[in-house]
Amino acid sequence: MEPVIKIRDLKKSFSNVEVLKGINLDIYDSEVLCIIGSSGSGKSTLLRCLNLLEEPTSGEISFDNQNLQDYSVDLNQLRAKMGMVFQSFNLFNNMNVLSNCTISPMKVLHTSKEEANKNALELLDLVGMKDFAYQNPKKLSGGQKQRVAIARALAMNPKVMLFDEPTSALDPEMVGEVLEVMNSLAKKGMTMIVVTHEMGFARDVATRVIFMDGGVVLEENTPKLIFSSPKEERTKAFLRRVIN
Amino acid sequence: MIRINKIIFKIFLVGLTFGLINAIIPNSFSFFSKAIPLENAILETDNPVLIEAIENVKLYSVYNYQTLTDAKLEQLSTDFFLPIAYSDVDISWKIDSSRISLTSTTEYITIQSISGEVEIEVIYAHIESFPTALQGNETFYITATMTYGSNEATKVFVGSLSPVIPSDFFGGAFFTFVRYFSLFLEGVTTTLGLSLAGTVIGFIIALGLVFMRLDQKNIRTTKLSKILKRMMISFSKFYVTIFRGTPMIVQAAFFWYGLGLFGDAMLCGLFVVSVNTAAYIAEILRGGIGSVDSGQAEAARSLGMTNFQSMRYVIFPQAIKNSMPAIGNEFVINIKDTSVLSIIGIFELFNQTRKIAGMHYRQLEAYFVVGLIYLFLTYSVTKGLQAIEKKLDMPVKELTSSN
Repeated sequence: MEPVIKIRDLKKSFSNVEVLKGINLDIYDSEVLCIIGSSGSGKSTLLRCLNLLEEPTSGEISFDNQNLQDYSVDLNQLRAKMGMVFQSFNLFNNMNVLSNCTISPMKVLHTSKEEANKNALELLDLVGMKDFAYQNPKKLSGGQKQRVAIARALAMNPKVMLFDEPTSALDPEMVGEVLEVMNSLAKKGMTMIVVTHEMGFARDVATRVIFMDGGVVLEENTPKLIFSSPKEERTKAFLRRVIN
Repeated sequence: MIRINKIIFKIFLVGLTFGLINAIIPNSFSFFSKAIPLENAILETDNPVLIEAIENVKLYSVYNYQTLTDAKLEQLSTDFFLPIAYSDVDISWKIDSSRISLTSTTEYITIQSISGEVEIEVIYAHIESFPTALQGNETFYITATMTYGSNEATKVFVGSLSPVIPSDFFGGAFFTFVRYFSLFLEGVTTTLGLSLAGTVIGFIIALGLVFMRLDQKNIRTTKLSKILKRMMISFSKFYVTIFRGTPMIVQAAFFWYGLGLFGDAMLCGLFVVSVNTAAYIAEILRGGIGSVDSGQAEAARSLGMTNFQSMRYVIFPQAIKNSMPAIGNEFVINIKDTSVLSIIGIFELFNQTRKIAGMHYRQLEAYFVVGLIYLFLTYSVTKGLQAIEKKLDMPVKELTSSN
């Protein structure tokens, strides 16, 4: 099977600090890939390189059989096919919840307003936020905001969803509601790449877990194996610290 | 407090409307100043002696015995003499104003005429009182009934009594305000029109400047567009430096006396206010854009929006909302700063006041009154803008110091 995303020898430096030191990774359709690792290991940078919020220094990424380094690729069309959920939600403050979910389908995909509204309301229903459709995002709790952010990303009907520590900025009580939504997405067969510190989620929902350290993928395995019998010393140390 | 704010807000709106109308149609409020009929009415006769008398009978000022011309009659401020005869024609006088009394006794005065000094017999007309500023100019009619034998003719002189400025400060200030209300109003409308239009046009120019200055978020750019961008940034910075770094009075003189821009002082003045304000608003907007969380732009781009779309739908609306109070302040500042345009001969409020101050040589009162008017304008506009901001849920800021 052809992978949806193919990453070859991806390197990324910020000025003279090399954050990614050659990543090779294939992501397949309907896969839920969890990326774990300590802060500064390059997890988020890897994710941001995938939809080119950061331009890779060298290496190759192909998505949907298109080489992203190719200058003829329309970046915006490409990003539209990758939904991204941020740690800090980043809901548009100048719009209500519904408009947050309809603005990009209307402006980027040129969906009609009626259709965008209908679709957005369905998605808001899916994440349990339909009753808040006409609310100002500022009035929502963190968990609610993140669920809206997921609906907003889904509204573009993406092929892949990228989650950049979606629960790290949430109160412990609200983590559950977001993970639940992500879980149901995974069950629907969405291809997901999740940077997370939620080991429980990684264990239960992921189809594959990679452990990153110092800008490289140190270990890659099924969740069952990586949590029960990690091979690398560094992985063991990390898991011991995180799980206890 | 809310009610007072509402009233001030309404006054502000009315003022704004006046300003706009006057800016579009100059002198549209001239009905505030009364027109005075000046032509002397003459009842016709065909008797040549009477005709000669009608043509030559004149009134004489009490100070120098000089003829009261139509212009002097129009703004009469001194007592005067009325001749009771012209050669063989007898003249009797009647004045319809209660402010002017005629003596019954006659006296002789010597006047200068073409044929040398002439002594004539006159009666004395004394101005008992002047109208107040509120009453305004009072027109009066002096009727001369001329008899020559059995023939009779009438000549009517039309004059006008002008109010006299009281000598005390508050009286003088009140007089100045009431008497020259229409002149002040012309100044106010010009000032408001200039500063409002200047702020709006300045805002539009500032939009252009800010878009030139914005960082290029698009990571894939050609060399040419990078060079172009750098040039635009340099231009924008240069513009802001020049117009913020030089006084508006110098800019006004440069563009009008130096370049004679547009060939019209008013248009040139509007241009100066606009380009000057643009520099300040550009900086305000840049700050406003900078204050929008960078995550907003990232989210927009992650959803596939172009640089322009993310600016247009996400960043800019928030930036505008953040900068609106400061832009409103620019309007208030402009109300005060357009006074420097007086040097290029625009009769905005300050220049209008200079004209008024010269009329009675009462500088203190005139500048005191105009100070109050400026204060009223800036205060009510500030309150009005605050009310709008409150309505639109914008952060309310106090008036910042002038630039």
